[in-house]
Amino acid sequence: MTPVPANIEEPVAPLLIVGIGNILLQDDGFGPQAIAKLQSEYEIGGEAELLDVGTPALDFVDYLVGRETVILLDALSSGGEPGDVLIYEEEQLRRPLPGMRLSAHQPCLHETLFAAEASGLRFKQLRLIGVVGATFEVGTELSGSVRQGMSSAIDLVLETLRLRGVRVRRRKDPSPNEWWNFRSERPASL
Amino acid sequence: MSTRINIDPVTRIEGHLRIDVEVDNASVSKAWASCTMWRGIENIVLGRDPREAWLFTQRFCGVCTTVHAMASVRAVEDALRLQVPPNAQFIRNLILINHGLHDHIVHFYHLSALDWVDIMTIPRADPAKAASLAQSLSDWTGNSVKEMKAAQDKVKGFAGSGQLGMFATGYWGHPAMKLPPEVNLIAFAHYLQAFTYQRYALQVVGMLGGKTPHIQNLAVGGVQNAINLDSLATLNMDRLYQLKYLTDSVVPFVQQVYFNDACTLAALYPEWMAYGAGVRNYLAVPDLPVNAQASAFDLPGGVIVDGNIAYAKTLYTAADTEFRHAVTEDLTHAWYKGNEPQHPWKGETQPHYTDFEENGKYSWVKAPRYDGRPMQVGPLSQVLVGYAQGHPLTKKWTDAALDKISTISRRKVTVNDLQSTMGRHVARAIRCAMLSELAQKHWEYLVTNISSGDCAVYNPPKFPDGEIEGVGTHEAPRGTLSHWVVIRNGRLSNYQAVVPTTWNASPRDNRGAPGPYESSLLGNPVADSEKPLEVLRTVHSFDPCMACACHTYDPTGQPIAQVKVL
Repeated sequence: MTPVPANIEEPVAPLLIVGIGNILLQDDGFGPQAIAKLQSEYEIGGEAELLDVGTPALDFVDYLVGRETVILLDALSSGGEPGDVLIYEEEQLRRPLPGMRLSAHQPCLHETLFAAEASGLRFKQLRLIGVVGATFEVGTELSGSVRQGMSSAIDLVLETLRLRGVRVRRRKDPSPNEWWNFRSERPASL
Repeated sequence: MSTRINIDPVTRIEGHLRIDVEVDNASVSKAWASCTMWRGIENIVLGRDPREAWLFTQRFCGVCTTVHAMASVRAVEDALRLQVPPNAQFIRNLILINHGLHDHIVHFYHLSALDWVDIMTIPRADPAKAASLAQSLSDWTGNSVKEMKAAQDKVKGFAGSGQLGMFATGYWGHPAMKLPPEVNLIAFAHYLQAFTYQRYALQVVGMLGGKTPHIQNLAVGGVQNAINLDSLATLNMDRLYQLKYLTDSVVPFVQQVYFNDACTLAALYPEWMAYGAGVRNYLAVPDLPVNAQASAFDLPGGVIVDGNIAYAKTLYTAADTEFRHAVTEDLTHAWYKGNEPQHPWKGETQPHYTDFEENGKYSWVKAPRYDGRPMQVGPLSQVLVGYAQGHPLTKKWTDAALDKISTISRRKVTVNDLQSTMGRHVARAIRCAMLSELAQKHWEYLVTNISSGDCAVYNPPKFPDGEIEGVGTHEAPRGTLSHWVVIRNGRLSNYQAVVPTTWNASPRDNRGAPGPYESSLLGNPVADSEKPLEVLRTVHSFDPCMACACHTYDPTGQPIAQVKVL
């Protein structure tokens, strides 16, 4: 194959915390919103990376390359009452699902894990922390139930980070980075 | 007696394409394409500052993030008649090109190849024979016996463990699967290699865009990349050469592997160059501007009507006057209020849901029309409008593809045969080969311009009082994308995105004219109504994209732990 300079792939953090979901569809944005909250409220050591991937297709695999531990934060559409926090391990996420492939972009989590395996990726741990959503309409506001579930989910992430020896410190002055809530006050004519 | 097939996947991802077909004598006689999710998502930017709209629009879709960001800033710049500096054009172009390379590679290998490649035959293949066949077709260095053997072992591993994963839903053993085991093995070996090369292309997007999947470097008026050849913190020579290494490794994969495989597939499935033409009106806008004025482009635009592929009317600019006035959206068969076709600047998105009514309203997709005509968009349109205008780069790769297919199949294949299901795959490979050359060319443009001492990346926007309108276009991997904005006193008062899949998945209009998906399915063979593989082949050839706006995980099993919120 084409020779590629050895250092072409930039090194990545071994631990990945990844938020999945569409920020524009209310509770579906749980994952990305949780990532933004973690980034604004905590200083986290460089062995862990926080990433909002939105709603990827198979390119999701690209972000898993080089990782040992992957924690997925995602909204759930079933499995409990709105706001319930549920945990799934890799083996459960890999179970085949019924249904037919029609849209070429249907492949998501399940197919991503399979594609990861096909391209030779193995993880020490891969776990999904989900919060059951209540409403998935157009908007950036989370429902009350998901906002409540968020703090338990974040505690679970922090616990994992500490268990892995990653330095975690609460920021004295949180710097909110929730761009979807900003309303610019700049004058219309500059 | 006709059979009705409804393909409406019920899976965890909300928002779907649903296809209904009627089959008579093993052939499709009627077809409906319906999107079952409301996409009124544009409303979220109304009232906002036009300078930040792109941050939201790149969240419309999870696959095509970059393209919606780009169309948005271009729309606002068009409304302001604001030019962007040459560096900004080249940086944007490199992002778009590399996104396109990534997207086309993934579509061919990972999202549609398995419609044609029966992986369950691979354990029977002879790896040595496969390697020697692959080497006879291409100079690629990844066609060794060892590579073929490793790919075969992978399939044996999956098959042996019973863990077929995403291969579990394939139509293996279907009578329409016709490739010899060795060819299936070659395709699968390249399927595995493709993971690496699509990732390299995406890395270029990330390096220039700040991060992926949501780039951070855009601005209305240019880009936010600081350029200083001597500074470590900015876009400097090291960084630029790192980009070049990545590109130089992707180019041979595209030209020697993907391009070859698409041509080989077409040669071995000749019957699929006779099905699936559908709507023979083609639209593509010009893209990859090569100067600040955006008055010249490296990719041509044009319009072809009624299958007259010898003549394309040129679209000279990305927001050509003709284009501005020709686009309307018809709501007759879409679940919205109103029946009169609307221009996107006047467009309204007022839902009016009925059930699926095959003679009434049946889709959340509006029906875009160009001068009242349904249009096919995508790589096939891009290639046909370029070829008709004698565009040298289009001609070079199209002729190379036609020669290759003709040689392998020992049958004269012409540009006319590209108007088909298989033709869309070949056209995508042609476009991708063109993009691979342009990736290197635009890198040169950027480096030359910076070396001349120009480090400008941004022209600040000034918003006037009153109302202005703009359209931003991008000839995206799936075809013509346009964002239409109305800005009143510096705030967005209307925003409509007319996306490629809206053109292709369009429902019927007020004259009853079907959209490209619907019309391309007519006459498709269906050997087994229980396993409509042929329908999927034609729909997938368009690279449909509508399932990705929402992503909740719908678990099937019990969680290992539940945390109760008190």
